Amino acid sequence: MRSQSKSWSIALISLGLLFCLSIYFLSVDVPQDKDSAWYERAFFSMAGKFQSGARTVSDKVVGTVDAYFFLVAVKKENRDLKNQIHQLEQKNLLFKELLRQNKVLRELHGLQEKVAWTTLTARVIGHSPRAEFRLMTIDRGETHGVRRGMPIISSKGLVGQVYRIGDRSSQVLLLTDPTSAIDVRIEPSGARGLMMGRVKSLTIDRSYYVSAIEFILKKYLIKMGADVVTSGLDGVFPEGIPVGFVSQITQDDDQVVQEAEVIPAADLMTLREVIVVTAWKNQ
Amino acid sequence: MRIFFTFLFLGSVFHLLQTTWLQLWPSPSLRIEFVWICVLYLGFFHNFMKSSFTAVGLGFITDLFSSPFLGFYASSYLLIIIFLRIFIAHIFIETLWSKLLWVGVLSLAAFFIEWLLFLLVGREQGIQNFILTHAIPQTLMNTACAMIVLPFLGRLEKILYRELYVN
Repeated sequence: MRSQSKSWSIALISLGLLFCLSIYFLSVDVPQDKDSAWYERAFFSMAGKFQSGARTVSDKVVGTVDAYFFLVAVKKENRDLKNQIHQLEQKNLLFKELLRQNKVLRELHGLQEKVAWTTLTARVIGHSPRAEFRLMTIDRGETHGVRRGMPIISSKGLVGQVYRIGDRSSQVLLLTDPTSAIDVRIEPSGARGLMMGRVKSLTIDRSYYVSAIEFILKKYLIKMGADVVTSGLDGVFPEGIPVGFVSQITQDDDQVVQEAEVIPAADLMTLREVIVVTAWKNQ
Repeated sequence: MRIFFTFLFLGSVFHLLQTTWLQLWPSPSLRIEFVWICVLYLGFFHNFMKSSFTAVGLGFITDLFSSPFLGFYASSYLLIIIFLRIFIAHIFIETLWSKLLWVGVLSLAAFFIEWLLFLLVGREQGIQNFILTHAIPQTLMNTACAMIVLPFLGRLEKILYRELYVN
């Protein structure tokens, strides 16, 4: 009887310690410049391999089905794409000329290159299994030079930042996650604010996670559809990356500040490839 | 120990499925929470020690896969197990329908606990909208999911350990 109550006491104490440990982990704030803990790395290295394998299998199956069913449309698509390439080549020539002119003018004015980025392409191999948080996993990790806090972008705009790193995979905190905070600027007014992730309303058929910019001074006139870019002042993201556009503005007569809702430029749930900005220089 | 490792393995497999092939199914804003149903199954049919330690293990795995805070789901699952095991003798869970009712009630209770934990980390504003808009639909989704997963887990345990817990 006594030994049974003793084992119960030990179990209860260890459970209490586990609960305290959970609360401690929950409360502790990991500094931005610190890398993930060893157990997180080990876990991600292991889980990343399975996720990457599952994604490869899935891509191959989908690719085979696509190749079989959509072969008919390939000829027409090929013709359209050739036309697009032709148009883009013409545009490219124009941009090259503009770039050359820009370089000459910069040299004349003694200015340095404004932005210089070093990037790395990564494949999205998984998303968060819970709807509360917005995280995704990419197939690039510590061995590829990825570090905690590195910005993640897509061809459309900002995606988020690296949150946990493993050996060959990393977890990205998306900009729509409720715990994400990004210093942004609204163009062309120049209004600055802190953008936080938010769920707008329940929509079954599509993802409708937005971000909200809080504490914008009322003196700034913000228009619907205005572009939102990173300010670069938080030290995490380079300046001028497109984030999204303003979809709603909320003003309260009693408040000295206003709030704007932002729809992200990139469709975060359907991304297949992203770019990790491993180094940058803002002037 | 066998229950602990079996459910940890099952939880990892379910998470891998959810993060890869089922990542947008049925919708990005509504998910099938297999692991949550596993936690409730443990609370319904296993004693306090087995269910609590296994639930904490499953919580830590969920945290690593889907939460920016380590310990978020571990605390939430543990609190739900404590609550469930205190009242287990007083609630009726003999039929599948009564189990589904309690899955719904406990899913709502879990949302409340999540909100309290968010208060702790000072980010309650971000989750408030989520709870307001998603609590009821996600609860219904969990209940529907439990209709299949609870009997499946029961059968699995019967096959593995020759013990039948669920009808």
